[in-house]
Amino acid sequence: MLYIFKKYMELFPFIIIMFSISFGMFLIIFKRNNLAMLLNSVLGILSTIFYLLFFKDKLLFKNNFFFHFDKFSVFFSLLILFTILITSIFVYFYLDEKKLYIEEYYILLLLFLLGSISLSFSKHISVFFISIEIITLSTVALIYFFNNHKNTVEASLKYMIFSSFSSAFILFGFGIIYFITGKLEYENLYLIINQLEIYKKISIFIGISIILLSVFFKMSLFPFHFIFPDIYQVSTPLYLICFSTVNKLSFFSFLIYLFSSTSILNTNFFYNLVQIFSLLSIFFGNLLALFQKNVNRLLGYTSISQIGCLMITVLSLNRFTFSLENMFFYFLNYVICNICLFGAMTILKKGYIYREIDNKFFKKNIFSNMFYTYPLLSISLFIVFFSLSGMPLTIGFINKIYILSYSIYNNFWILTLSIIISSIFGTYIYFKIIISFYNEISDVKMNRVRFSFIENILEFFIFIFSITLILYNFFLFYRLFFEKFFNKILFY
Amino acid sequence: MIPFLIVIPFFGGIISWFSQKYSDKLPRCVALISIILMFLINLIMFLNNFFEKLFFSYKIFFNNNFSIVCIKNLGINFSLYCDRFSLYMIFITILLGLLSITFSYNKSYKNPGMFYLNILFLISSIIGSFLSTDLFFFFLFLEIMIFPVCFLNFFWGNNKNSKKNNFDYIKNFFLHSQVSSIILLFSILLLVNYYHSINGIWTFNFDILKTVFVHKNFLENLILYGFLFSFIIKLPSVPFHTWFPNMIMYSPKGNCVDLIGFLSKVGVYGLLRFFIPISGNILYKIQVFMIFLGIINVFYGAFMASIKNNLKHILSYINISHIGIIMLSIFNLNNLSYEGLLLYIISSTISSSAIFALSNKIYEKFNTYDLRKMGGLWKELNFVPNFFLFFTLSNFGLPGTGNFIGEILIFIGFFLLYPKISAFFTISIIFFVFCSLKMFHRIFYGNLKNYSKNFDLNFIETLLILFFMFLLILIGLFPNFIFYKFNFLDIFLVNCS
Repeated sequence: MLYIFKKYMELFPFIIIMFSISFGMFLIIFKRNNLAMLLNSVLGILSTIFYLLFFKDKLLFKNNFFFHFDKFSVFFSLLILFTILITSIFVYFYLDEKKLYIEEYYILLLLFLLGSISLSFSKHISVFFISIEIITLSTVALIYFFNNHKNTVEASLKYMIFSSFSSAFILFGFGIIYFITGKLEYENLYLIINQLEIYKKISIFIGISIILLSVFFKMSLFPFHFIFPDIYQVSTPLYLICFSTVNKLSFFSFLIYLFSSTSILNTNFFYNLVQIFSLLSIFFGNLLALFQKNVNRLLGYTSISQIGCLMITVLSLNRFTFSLENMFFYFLNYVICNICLFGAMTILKKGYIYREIDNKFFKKNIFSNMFYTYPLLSISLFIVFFSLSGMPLTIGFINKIYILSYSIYNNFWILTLSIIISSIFGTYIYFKIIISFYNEISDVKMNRVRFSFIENILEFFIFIFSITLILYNFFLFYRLFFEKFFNKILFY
Repeated sequence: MIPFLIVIPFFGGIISWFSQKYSDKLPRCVALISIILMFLINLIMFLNNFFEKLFFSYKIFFNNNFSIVCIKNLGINFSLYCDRFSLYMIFITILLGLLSITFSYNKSYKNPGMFYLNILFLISSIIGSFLSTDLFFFFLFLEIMIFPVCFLNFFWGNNKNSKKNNFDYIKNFFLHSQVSSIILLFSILLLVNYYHSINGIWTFNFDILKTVFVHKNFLENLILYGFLFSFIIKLPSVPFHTWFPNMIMYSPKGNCVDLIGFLSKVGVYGLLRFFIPISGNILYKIQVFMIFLGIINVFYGAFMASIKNNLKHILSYINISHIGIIMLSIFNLNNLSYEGLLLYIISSTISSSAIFALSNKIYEKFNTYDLRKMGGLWKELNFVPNFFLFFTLSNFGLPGTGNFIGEILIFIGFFLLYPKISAFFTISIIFFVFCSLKMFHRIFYGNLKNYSKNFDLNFIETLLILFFMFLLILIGLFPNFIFYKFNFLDIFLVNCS
């Protein structure tokens, strides 16, 4: 038994999640119960988190044929597990009153989790491809799950068609690589690439660039962004908690491993390619968000520019002095902000009877009347928007300074200009949203429905998460404690 | 002792916000107490600065320096330094805070805790920007300053029509200040990177950073022009002044207006502290242009003030022309004009803020700012017309007040540089006299028009206004006590020669 455990140690996170999925299915067959499903999924996720935290030192040296373990992938998978844990708690809150077939939502979420974790650990094409397919299938179902908008079917179909196209392109790119190198895993590809002749090298680069472009589609960078605002508009904020974070984090983990294994960023062509895409998405994401009237759509456009900033932090790895630390904090900031924002939106959407949010942006949106009905929630959202726009006293400000100083340090003048302009636009947009918290609407529908116990607890949770964005500053004064703490968890 | 000046209003604001639960009157008491505490601390620091042997045994508490390591990798320290100039600026800020809180003391606001929290945060951020020598924290305080102003104007703003209408003016202000602050951040980071590329050390400390300038690079010129541009937007100079009058027009009913007006003095402080010490040859290149811009400011402000019919608009345009005189004296580079500058900043802010406070009292009489609907207040009230007359006279430089001496020193310094232009420039005084006397005549003389209530200044308000008058006359009669053991030129014009 111990021998089996030691030999297949690295597979246990996936096994635990699969076990909780199948156990949940059995639960549905015997008796439908919301609370039991919640406990099942929470137990599964918590046990994987503790497993990864306790055995991470041993897992690092157990590189499998299919999976790799390094500090980036462990960090990203921990973030993914954390977000899914919180979304499942929100699901329990949200599904409380709905009657029919609601327990399947947990299983779809766990499938989504399985796909994204295996993607972040993957180093073989088969695992990579299977996990992408699991993610797309679960995403299509999750977008369509609450059919509360007239365009949900359209958005989910669009997502399915385009993502199948992009996965076909990924297969094509890996096919080119396999044709030349004869390898299906992408570990240490640079050893082979360096020995090849020039025309073979060029064809491998073409294959990698096809893979990169299709991955950029999945992450909704600028020229491939067009269906993502539709999804943001249509789907419930409950699903957006994980869609806005997990879907991107897993691909970032994959990209970091691809960059390090093929070392393509040392060539100028790929470096400029990735930089141009991130630059365009930084600029145009906030520019297009200026003209939006719908709040969800607007948030979708701003998330594009945030992802551009995240790409630049990934690009700055090993090129700037504090890039590693900065990257970890940027991702933490992104995840916490998105959890707080969309979690607050789920509470609001359930708390008010008023459910149509397509009306005029300034006068009536989901946030209006919020300061008087949910004061604690409005403060936490206030902090979140400050941090997203990079205002001082939050993590976002320090991240903005890191990015700007990186681009100035390397003399990327166009990049600095686009960051500056987009940050002006972004602060303007977020300021507009913050102002709309305080709109008083004397409408009976906009009053708070009830003060349930779970709602108060979730409100308090969101408040604590948002406070951590500020507490970072006070940690800075106790630098020694901080360094030890993070060396233990992250930089082992 | 120094960090208390930032910490006390910060925590006072938070306490006042929490005290809103228990009663509506508690927040303003908390705000008043915290402001008075700051005033006492500032007085102790003044005494310590003037008479060094007084608190000699407690020198640890009354130190001028304060620094904590904040981010070790980038060399960011939370470092504060306090010399005589920043002490004067802080003194004015605290006085204006006292004025704004006492003049809005008897009014009932919708959310009093949040209101006083915004005012106290604004005061703490202004004081922080005056104290910090680290460029990172200077930028941080400048950035925080924007938000309380926006919230004050949006939620408690004085606009009868709609909030949507008010939002347009705030949008204008917000975009201007965002553009200026992001250009400032860009040039600060350029400066830090430039220092790192030469010496290999990351610091944000300005005293170290200013030694790097050689004045031959393109990069240095870019940094300097960035600083200049951002500060020119902050002090509303002519092409970028459009946010200023409407922002003051639609500010809350109490008297936090003068704090908004005081934002412009932060720009002046930034020019003096962070632009002039590092600008060597560039200062002589742009001198003519900047003086020309200052003259345009003065005449444009006076012209608009004589045209407009709105009381707040007139006062704000007069403020813009004051800023023109300040710009002119900054770029004169004379010892005389620099001494006049300090006197002029202190006395003009005191007099103009007092006028703003009194104009709010007049608004409560007539319920409009429109001059055409006013008239005949002289017979009705005892205190307000007399005080208003005194402060308008001192605003255009009555002999015996501080404004007069500052203006005279600035004009003499300007005369030494360009005699013919300065002789022409003295016409501007007539413009000032014209517009302010016209305003005074419209309000206080003529037929009495209908108004709502009958009241006058409080006891505390009269005391405060009397204190302001006393200060103005003190500066006017004994201007030398400001320059006691204090050479203004040595601090700023180190590299200019």
